Amino acid sequence: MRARPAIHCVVRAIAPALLVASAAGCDVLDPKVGLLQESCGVDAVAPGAASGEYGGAGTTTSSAYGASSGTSTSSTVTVCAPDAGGTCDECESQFCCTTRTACYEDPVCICADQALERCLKATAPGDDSGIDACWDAFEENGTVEAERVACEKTWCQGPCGVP
Amino acid sequence: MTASRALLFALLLVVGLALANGRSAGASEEDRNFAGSAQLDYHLVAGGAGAPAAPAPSTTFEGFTLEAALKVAADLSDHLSANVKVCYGCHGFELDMAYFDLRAFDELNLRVGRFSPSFGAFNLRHDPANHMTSDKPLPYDMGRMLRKGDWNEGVLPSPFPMNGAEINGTHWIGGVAQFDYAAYVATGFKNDVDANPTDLDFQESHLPYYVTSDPRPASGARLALTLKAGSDADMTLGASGMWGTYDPANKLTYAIVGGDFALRIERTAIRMEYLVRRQQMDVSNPDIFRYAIAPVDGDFFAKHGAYVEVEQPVTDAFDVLGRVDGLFRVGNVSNVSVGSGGDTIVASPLHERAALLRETLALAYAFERNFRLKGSVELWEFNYADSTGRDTELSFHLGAVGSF
Repeated sequence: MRARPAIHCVVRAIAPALLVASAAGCDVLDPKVGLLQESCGVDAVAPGAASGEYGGAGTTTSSAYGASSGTSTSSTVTVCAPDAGGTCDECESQFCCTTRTACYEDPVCICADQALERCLKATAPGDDSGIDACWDAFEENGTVEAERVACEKTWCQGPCGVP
Repeated sequence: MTASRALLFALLLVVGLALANGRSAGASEEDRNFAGSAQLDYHLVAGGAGAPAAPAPSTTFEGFTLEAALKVAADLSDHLSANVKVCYGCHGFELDMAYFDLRAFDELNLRVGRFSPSFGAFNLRHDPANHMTSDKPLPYDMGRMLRKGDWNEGVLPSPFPMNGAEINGTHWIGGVAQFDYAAYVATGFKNDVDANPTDLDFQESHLPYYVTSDPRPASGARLALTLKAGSDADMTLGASGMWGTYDPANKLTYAIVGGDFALRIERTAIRMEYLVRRQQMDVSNPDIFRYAIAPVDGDFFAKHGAYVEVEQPVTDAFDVLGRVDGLFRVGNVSNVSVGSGGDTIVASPLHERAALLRETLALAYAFERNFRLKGSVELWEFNYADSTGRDTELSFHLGAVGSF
């Protein structure tokens, strides 16, 4: 077995190299993640399931969340209704139905929307910086959120209280 | 001249040279070689619930699949040879090889054209006539795995033909050792479809999408050392790496590294291989991810894959193979299916540390030297449940493969 010493030599040379490489590579191959974005307990509206009077949608609850947990499988969910429940909802339903629907069809955006409502409720009236922070956090959460805010700023800034 | 026209020209040139060589009065039979193989396989998933409408996202290919290939190899001179291989698989006809080898001596060979760059050990055996199982190990899986849509295939689906150039060679150290090396630049992988690319789109590597909008080539290398202990035993250790960008802006990188080990003692073969792909993701739209983007080290994922297999001939015609392989993916998860363009967001079932382990027992019986029956049973264990709550599946393969 002439090759045995050579095999031992190779194994001895490679084993420490692998250990060093794996130790050095830990950070390189160990990505980090933030919190689960789907943990708000509200399911997104199934794509294509939304309909309404304004811009092509049908019925919804009067609250902003047309789909509570489990309703994403329902055949039709109304996101943009003539009487959506409040001045902001009505304005957005009329002028920003597309971006509103996109948010409710997005599992991340619908949770971010809930977080925005919680944030605004927790902020004292007149605390402009706090209100700004709530909207900024929502807007920076993603492009769907940003497009929704952009439309609200254009058409419904007053009714929705967008800074 | 576009890349596709150049490729067609090279193909015609090779075929023409092969035919001319065959017609020349002085040509011998050794100057050219015509080979082929075909495998018909039936895949049955016992549970069925996880694969209700294959092929589709999160499912697998059930039923019959066919893989066939025809190859022409021609030695045009003492220093020049050419290879052309056309294969047919689940996505139609594909040009697997069309390249020239210009060999100065054993230690220096220039390969140009379309070929699978040197990476890992399995790719050399990727033809179904060259391995005992019906499917490939999970790190190299190309569409046969369960829940392939969840995982977007394996680490490096094999084969992976690319357009490029490679320098390779072999140096013999006495009669006991062989050193192989290869270094290459090639088109690499890409994702030109998705608005926010988060993974390689392997569909774009198929015909007719040879022209790439990603102008930066991928590069890589392989080193391997084979030690021989007489004619009955040998051992090979190899290391491979590939790096490139995959988006049109050349900003998102991927890096694949791997190590392989093979030991043959008489007729027993033991093989093991490990691959990992570090994949940078476009995180400019946090909406599409299952998890919030971590401020540090949050813009990539790592997909690990490995297999260990033991192949043991029982008789001259009957072989048994045992294999354990798996995948482990760590990192954020996009809710947009790769290649969908990004219009539809559907929650991915994967979590930040998703794992899959498979155990395979395969039998192969050769009715004749070039015709073999293959059968295998596979136990799949996932660390996450599918929509029906299943995390374990059992599947069976029965196929036949022939070669000439």
